[in-house]
Amino acid sequence: MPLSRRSDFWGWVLGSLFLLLGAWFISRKPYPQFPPFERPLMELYAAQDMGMVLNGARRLGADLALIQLMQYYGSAENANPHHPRGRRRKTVEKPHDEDGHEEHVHLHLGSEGTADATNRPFQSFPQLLEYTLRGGSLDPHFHFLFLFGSGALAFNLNRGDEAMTALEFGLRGDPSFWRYRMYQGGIAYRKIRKSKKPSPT
Amino acid sequence: MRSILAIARYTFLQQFRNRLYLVVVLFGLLLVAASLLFGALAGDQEVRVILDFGLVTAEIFGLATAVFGAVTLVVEEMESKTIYLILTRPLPRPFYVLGRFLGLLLAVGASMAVMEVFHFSLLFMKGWTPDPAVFAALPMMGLKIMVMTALSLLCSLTFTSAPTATVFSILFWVLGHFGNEIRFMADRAGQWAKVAGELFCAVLPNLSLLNARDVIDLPGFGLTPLLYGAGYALLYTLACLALSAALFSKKEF
Amino acid sequence: MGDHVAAISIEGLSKTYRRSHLGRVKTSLGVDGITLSVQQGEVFGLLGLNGSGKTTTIKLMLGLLFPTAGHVQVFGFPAGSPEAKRAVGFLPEIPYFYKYLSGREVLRFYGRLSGIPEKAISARIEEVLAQVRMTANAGRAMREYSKGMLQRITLAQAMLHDPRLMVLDEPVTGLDPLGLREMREIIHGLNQKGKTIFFSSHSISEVEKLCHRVGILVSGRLARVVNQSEWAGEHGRLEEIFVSTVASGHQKAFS
Repeated sequence: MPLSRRSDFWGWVLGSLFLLLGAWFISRKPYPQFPPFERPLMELYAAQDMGMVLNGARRLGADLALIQLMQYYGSAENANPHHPRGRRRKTVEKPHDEDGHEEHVHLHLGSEGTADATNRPFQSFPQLLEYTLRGGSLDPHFHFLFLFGSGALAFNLNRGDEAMTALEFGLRGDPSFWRYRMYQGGIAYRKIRKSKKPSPT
Repeated sequence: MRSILAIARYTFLQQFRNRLYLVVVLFGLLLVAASLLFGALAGDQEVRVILDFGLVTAEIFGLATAVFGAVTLVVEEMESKTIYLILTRPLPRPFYVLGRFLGLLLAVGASMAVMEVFHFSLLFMKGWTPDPAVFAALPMMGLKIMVMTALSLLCSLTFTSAPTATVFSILFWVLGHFGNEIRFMADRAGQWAKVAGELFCAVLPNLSLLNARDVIDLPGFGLTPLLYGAGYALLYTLACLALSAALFSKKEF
Repeated sequence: MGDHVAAISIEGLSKTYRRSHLGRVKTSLGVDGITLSVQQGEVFGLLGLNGSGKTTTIKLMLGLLFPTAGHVQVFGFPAGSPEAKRAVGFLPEIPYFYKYLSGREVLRFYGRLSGIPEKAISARIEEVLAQVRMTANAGRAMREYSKGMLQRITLAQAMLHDPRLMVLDEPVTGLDPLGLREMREIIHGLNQKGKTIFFSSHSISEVEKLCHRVGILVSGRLARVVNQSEWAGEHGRLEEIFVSTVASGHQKAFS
């Protein structure tokens, strides 16, 4: 290659490195972003969720998670825990933290050896919490998803503890959303009222 | 300048006369229409689902036309030797690269614009209240595709085979969205892994920085990060074009 | 640039092709040590067998390939520089065009790339189309053109920017007798207007009729340059010279 072309070539290469360096400096500036996606929470939808993350479509992934949650919650088979065709979906067992990090939500999603890896085999909609958290891990700012899931758990299915878990997860994503606190208050109030009711004699 | 525009114009026309390009655009429009079905399943969140689905569809199909266009334009042109009569003109070689890039960008931009006009008409039909944040996200989508167009052009000049160039372009797209996760994992793996991860992420396009359509509800979304994103996109694109010019300057035909 | 500057000046030009495959590098000789000068206003023909290096030489002159050694200048400018390219019109052996464009659109595109002012382009296109007798068919898409029509449009794009040097790679290959005659007349007409013509060919009879000098390439080397006076008036003389040069060139290669 002639000398003039060689110098052209290296000139362009150096120029591009310089521009890349400039781009890198800018990328260090703060910008709004989701927290890193650690792992899919439901094995059944792992490929779908990873596909959404890898295409930068976490918001859409959360939308699809909401649709799937609503389909799950609207299905008669899942409502009846003894239905012969009731679906049991495998969940990913989340490991316990060894360092006791407070940020992690501890979910006892199941014991090894059971067919569906849940420890609530005879509940209606046993995986409603998992569906809620799955969508929330994709878009931690999806308020409707958390309110829908926790509302159904607390006020329709009387599973206040799971509802609180979902709301805590939502608060980690968006501490400023006051409705989560309102729901928590409502759930706590309901629990207190129940405990104060005299037991029938 | 005239020669750059002449090449840009004919690149644009070449794309539009390509049947496969038109099929891709049509398919994109159909998928945007399909967002109505998904929206219907989402109850109260219908408008949000239609919005997100349409934006992602337009972006993915914009990527498809960019990658397909860059690969077929450059690789096929070099194989078919139509490039001989261009390079024997008094045209500096970087002008050819720039002209091809601009023409391709125009064609991709036009396809995305058509899809988005259709998308927004569906949204308005469904009673969507215009949100300035969404309109701010649209140019960021365009910038993201601009970066990918430049990167696809670079891949097509680097790899002589069309399938290889396509695969690498898609790989950059995927890794570009996974940068935060790569940094997160590298941070936990030790000091050297952290440095390697940082270097790796510096070379990869940071598409999360341009992913405004996903973060319109997040705190901190505003003009400043958008300007940073635009600046990043411009510099990264110029870096790719400069490298493309370097590679093209030493190509023999 | 004055008239004393050679249209083409080639000094010690060599090109070795290197191809790497799975770590192995294979080299093959394109051209080796070519030294040649073509004066302004001359018609110079390059003869050689297939694979003798004719197209390689032309590509090196046009900046499509880079020399391994030596240099090429066109009107005193380095080959491949914008100044050199401005002075050259190229007719490739096999024309490659965008099939969906019409003849006129193709010429407009190349006219813009050649830097012809926008105001002058349309008139120049019509002028050139008339010279190559393609005015009637210029509105049709290139994919509808016959071989002869393609060749004429290819010649038209080479003439469009009125270059001082025309480089033609196998301009008469595949043409019928009428096409051959028309091409010969066009080349002769261009030379009459002061253009320098450099062309490669297999056709000894066409070279005989048109050229002032002929270079004979054998296995990448310039074996001999023959003046018109050496074959003029003797039918078949150039062919004899060519055959004997090629034969002795191969003998040298084997020894």
